[in-house]
Amino acid sequence: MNKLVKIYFIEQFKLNKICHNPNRKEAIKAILMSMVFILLLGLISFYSFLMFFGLKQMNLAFLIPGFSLISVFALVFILNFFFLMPGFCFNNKEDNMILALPFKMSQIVSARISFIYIISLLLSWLTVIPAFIILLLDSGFNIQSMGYFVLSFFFPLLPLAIAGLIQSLIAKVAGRFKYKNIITIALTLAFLIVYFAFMMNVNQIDEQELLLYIQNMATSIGHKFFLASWLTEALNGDIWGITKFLLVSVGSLIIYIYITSKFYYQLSSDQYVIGKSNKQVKYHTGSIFSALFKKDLKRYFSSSIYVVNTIVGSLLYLVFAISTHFIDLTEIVESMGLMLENNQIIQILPFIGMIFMGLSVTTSASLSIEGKNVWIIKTLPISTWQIYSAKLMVQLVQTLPVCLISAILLMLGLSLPFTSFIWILLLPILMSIFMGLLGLKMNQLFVNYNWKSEAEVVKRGLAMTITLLLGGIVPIALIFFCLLNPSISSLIFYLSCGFVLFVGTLILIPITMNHCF
Amino acid sequence: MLKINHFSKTYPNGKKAVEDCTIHVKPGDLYGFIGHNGAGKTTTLKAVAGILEFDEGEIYVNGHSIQKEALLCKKDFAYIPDNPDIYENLTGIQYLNFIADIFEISEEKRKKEIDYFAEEFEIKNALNDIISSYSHGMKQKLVIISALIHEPKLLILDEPFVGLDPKAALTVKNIMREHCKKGGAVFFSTHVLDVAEKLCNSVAIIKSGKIVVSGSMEEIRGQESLEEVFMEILDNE
Repeated sequence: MNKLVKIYFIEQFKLNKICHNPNRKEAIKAILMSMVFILLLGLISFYSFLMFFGLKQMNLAFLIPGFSLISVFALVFILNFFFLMPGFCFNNKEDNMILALPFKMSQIVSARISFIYIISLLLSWLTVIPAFIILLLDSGFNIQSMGYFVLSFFFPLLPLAIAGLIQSLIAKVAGRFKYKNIITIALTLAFLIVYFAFMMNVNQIDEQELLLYIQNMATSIGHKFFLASWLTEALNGDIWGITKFLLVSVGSLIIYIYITSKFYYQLSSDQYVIGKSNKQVKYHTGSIFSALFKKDLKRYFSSSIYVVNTIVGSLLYLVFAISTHFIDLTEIVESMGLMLENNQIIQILPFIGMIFMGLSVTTSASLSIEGKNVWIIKTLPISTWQIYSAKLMVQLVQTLPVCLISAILLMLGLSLPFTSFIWILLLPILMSIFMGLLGLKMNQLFVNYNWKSEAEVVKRGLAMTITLLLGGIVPIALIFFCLLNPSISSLIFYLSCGFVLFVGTLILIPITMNHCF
Repeated sequence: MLKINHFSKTYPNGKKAVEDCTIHVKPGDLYGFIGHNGAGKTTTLKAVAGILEFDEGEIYVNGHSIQKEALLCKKDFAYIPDNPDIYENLTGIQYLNFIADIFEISEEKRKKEIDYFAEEFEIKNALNDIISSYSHGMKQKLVIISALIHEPKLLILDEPFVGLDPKAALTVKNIMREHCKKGGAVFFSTHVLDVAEKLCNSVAIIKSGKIVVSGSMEEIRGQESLEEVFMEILDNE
């Protein structure tokens, strides 16, 4: 089992690329990327430190264990549910090879879960270590602080088990249907919405209570989240609290390993082969563009990981637009952590649409997703323009209707004038086109055809990460700039922003299309 | 039909995969490219097909440079890789229609070609099935059909017989012969020397990235078998 875990680490972190790469340039690039990644993690850890330090300063240090547990739960669940489990535990191209080796099912599953646990634990330390330091500063080495550190090793177990069980359930249910990818996408999105609703419910009450400085917050967290309550009891020396905490944490993982071991073969192998079709063979003809577009669209919808990862922005935009018909706009924005007046929100609406479009970029993985099939487009007599325009269209068929529907919903819901509707429609559309081209360029620069799991390029790919970061940061910066300069007319903001996006698109077209296949 | 002039390929890690390779394939040639594993066959074929970029030498397909006029070259050839990695989420017929659309083949013509080759390779009944349910051999057959439906002048095949059943292998050999009889050319790699000896009229042997010998089969073989010549080359060079 240890050997499997070791192989997973070498494979997933591409350690050989750093340690045994004869190409020095690539090795240095890999090292630099790792350093940037470590720096980012360091920043997250520093942010946690500041947050816990703030609690200590407010004499609320007793809340730190509960808070850190909730943070770890959220972080580990999202990491596993969204990133690690779909690509690593299932849909892994190595599954058939591993299944053919003389390993017990429980050994394979345990090795994969051990790997995931170690990653989750390391990530949990981003929160746990700062919390531990603050606890030490607050009360020194005592049973509570040491107990917290020891019990923190169990923090990732429950979220890991829940994420894994839900993913197994999705794979099992979806596998029974002909269109299993559509079912997987729908179920994954449904679970994500439930999860966000749950986490928002927990956070919202905490924040309100923090503002009111209510001292019995620990009890409140406990009511909302049983594990945090048991942790607090455990740290106060309650044996029954420790027992409950350990039983649920370890027990959930054992249940997960048992269930997954039982169904691993079904979940991992392509045993749900679609039955032979007796339909008559159809010889449809179409243009080169439509052939490429249909091929790319089918590829997109064939990957639940790809769809779920790139459709979230569009879905959230729709949800946001619909919710304006039922909830007050200031309340919606407040739930996002912003305190703004109604007219300010209306002013930044086009930029909010741009944020959602910045999160809905399919193109930044569209080249890498070709994988080993890339020889096909490389050997066919098709131009880069034809290939790229089809890939861009896959994104636009998803985002353009969303932009239009959301703009109409927002206009009706908020009784906006037609000029506002135009900007709310136009700027997100321009953003989507610009981001689509930028995604293609990024994927050109950081292309990876040799992936083993789609998640490597769709979720963890450098091109996708950079594109999403840019797509999120730029509109947020625009919002702040707009709010901080109320004297400048909105029209000037919109015009400048539209002009920059338009010119940026015009510049990106030749730069991107210059690439040769 | 195909001119490879002083082609060399060095990978980013500094490894020289092919050095100063020169091969000329004329219309009507059934040209075998022979070498041991890692000799540089696939690298050369990929460069010819426009998959690999290279910095030394020139490759011309039907008079067009693969580096400067890639699209014109690609209209004239079809490439079949050693491993049939194709779009697994499409059905067989969707994949063939996709290729036919790219080459702008009329409905009537594609129906005729697909029907004929699908019958020949015995996969007509599987064309409506999703490719992920195909065996390796079935995928290989589908790739071969997709390469033939647009009637390319040059066929570039990398180990075309791997994974095929005996009947399909014979069909491929017959197709290759017919293609050359009609004035087309075939350039294929193999390490099955018997097949090369019986099938090819010209052959080139590559060893550690360098062409050791090339020419007509009679010239190279002389009084010996191709296997003996190949083994001598491996031992002596």
